[in-house]
Amino acid sequence: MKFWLFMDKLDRRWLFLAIGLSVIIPSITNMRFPVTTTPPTLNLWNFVDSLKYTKKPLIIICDYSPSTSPELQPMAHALFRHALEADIPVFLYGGLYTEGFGLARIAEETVLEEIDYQKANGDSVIYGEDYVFLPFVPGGLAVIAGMGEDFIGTFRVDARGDSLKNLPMMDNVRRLEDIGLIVDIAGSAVSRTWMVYAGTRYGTPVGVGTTAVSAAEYYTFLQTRQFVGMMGGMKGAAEYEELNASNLNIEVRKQAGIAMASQNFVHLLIIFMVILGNISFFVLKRNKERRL
Amino acid sequence: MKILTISFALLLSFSAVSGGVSVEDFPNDDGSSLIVRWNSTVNTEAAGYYVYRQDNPEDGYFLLSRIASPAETLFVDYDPRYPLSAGMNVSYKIVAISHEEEELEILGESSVFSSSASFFNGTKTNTFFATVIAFGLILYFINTIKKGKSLFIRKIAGLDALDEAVGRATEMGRPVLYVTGLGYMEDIATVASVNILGPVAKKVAEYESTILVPNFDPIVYTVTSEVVKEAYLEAGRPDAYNPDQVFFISEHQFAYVAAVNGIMLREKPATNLFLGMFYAESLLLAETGNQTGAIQIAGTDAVTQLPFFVTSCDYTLIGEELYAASAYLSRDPVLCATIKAQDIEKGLLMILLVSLSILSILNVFFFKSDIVWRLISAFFRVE
Amino acid sequence: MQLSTSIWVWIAAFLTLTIYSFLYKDNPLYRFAEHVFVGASVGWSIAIVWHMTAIPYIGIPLRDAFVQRNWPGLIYVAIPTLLGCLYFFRFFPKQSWLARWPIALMMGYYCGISISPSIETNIFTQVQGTILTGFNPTSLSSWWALLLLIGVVSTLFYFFFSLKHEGIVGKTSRLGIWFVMIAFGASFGYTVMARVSLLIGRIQFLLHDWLGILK
Repeated sequence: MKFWLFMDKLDRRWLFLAIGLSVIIPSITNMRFPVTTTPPTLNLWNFVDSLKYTKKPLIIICDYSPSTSPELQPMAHALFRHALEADIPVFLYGGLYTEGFGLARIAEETVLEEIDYQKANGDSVIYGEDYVFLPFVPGGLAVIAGMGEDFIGTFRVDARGDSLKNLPMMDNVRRLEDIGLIVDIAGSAVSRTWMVYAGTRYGTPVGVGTTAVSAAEYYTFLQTRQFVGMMGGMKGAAEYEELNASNLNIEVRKQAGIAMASQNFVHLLIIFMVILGNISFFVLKRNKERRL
Repeated sequence: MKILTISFALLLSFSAVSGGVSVEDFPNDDGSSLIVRWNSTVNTEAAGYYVYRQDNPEDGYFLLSRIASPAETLFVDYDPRYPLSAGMNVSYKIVAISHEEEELEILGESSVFSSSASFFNGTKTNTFFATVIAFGLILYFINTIKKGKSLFIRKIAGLDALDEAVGRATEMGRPVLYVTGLGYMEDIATVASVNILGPVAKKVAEYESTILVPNFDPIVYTVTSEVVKEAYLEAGRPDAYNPDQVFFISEHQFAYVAAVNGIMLREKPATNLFLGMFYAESLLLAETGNQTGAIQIAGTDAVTQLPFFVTSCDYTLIGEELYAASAYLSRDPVLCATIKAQDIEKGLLMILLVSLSILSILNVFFFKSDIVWRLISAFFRVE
Repeated sequence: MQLSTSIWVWIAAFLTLTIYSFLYKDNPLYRFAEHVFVGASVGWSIAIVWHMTAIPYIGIPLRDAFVQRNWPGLIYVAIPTLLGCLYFFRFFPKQSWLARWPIALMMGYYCGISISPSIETNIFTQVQGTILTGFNPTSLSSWWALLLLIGVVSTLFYFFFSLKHEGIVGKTSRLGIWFVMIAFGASFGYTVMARVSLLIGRIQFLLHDWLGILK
């Protein structure tokens, strides 16, 4: 009984410490767990990869803020890397809110430095031919509608301030219909907005990279194929990194993959705590009833 | 009939045939595509065709596309490099080519065709009817309520607990805390919350208890203070109304949460009501309330926050229940009509789901025809 | 171990640690970091909106139209700009009603643009995806599809407000709330995973980018 009373009164700061340690210890001891790939991520990877045959551009949208970037930034990196290595024309876009612009910029710089501005086939990455960085345009939903009707007219210039019209990648893009796939990486419901408007209204396939919070909700749309695939949380990002590594032989630091050991340890700790907490609850309840 | 005749005549005029090359309007679009048809060549050396287009007689024809098969007789003109738009007058020329890309013969030139946008997108007919039904039902029920007919809305479980919760606060001599969440006045959940606040504040006034309403948004604050003031007036206790009961805290999420948590720990309200729009702060609020031993009733349409409320509150109004509770308590005609209309729509969907599923199962075992599947696909077609 | 030499990494590490100090106790350093965060994010948004909205979409077009004496072009930009400026009347209580004009315009626009695709996405496609087609008793996925159908119908029953929850309706809606609770459980689990990921992200930053312990 003493033990359960002790558990009940335990200062929560000890739990914070336990969680912190179960993240730090697997990280510094370099533990690795195998990452198994789930169908939503595999479907997304395959869809992105199929664009190398049609040469229709991919749009990577960084629709998130720094607060969710630990889960979502590795997704942007893995996708951008995949597109460049597979020679798929790609638009990097900071999304409908202001914060994403800077994070898309980080994705651009990180990946280009990692691959040393060179694709797998040895060619140099050329701005305007291989990728284009789109600027922030205000208007939310109106921006998607604008892209659906007149892509160049909506943005006019790229993030560097140069006219979009003059970039070779724009030759085959008039509106959303000409885009091969949109992958919206977001921690909010904005991915649904892209699905409803870009997907349903303009017929562009939409995939999603999301925080684990929203992942459960999006399975509904995966089932009806309104999202062609999904990366759910850091695990989804780790799966995508793994697919890149095994299929494209990309050897870079797996930001999300490294985190999986810590994630597993914390999950085990939480499961243990939940079981312990429930037993404690029932034991104390029964004890209270007996005393009454 | 007259309309039908005109439509038919217009349809015919869309098609211009000349010299074996015909141009048709692409149906259900905004005029950015055209269909070009021709008769295939009899030349055995032909390996394909060149499609030429002329936008302006002064500029002449330019090469639009190369078709790699001599058997092909149709081309859809949609090319981002050479965009078409409604009102453009264009003509096409088809030339058969050899394997060496030499031009063998001109199959013909079309007459000038004017691209036009469709007035109605036929692929959206089902959506159109669904919208008309939804609007029609709401208007019908608003009208019914305005005629004085009352519409039945079942009592929501959490609402029964509201009376009990307010009574408990009175007995304990402690306040009721009403949190409208982080929403703005344009959020439906906030509107519903404000609607529920009125009757709750009235009950508090009747019981001579106290209500505390901390606010996140200045506009919501002005509305809630008016609502509480009016509730006290309705309860016949305007003297008991204290303007400091309703107050603005901060527009920053966690600053707001810290302040509300502080109120919970200091004032120890007997009842906490969290109704409205909530984000990551939901668990922080509900957990603190749980520690103080208050009765907690929550309600939100934020799906990702509902699990936290369900685990840490005594009652939770899940999603639409919040709107229904607001309609139930406020008896606002538009809200009640919307709930009723939605019920009918849900009923229709349930009937469709069940009946079409039964039909499909019967089809698998007995009819074994693909007509059923085609019927379902056509009914729900989305393009 | 290779300590970072970038001043920005050190600032970010300091701010991360001050935020986590809240786990022990609320303190002035935590509040300092919180205020820095709010200020920085507002500042960033203002800079982006100024450079990527106000100047290219209002300033430059107005200037060009004025220089070129293009009066229709000037009106084309000026009218929406003025309508947008009406939002600022929220700050003046007596004239705050003027802010309703742009709000009404935006509401109308959003309603118009969203009704049709919302019906198609959330109703037609989802309902079609729930209908049992090609049921095959030997296939497990067919039984999953049947479970999905039962889940959808019973949950719809729970959110049906025109009938009392008695008899068959009551039983079906009770089944519906079970499905809802299971969905909440899944969502809860995923949320825990998300929060842990955020912690891992920060600790990785501290150990890899700042202290250089992790490879």
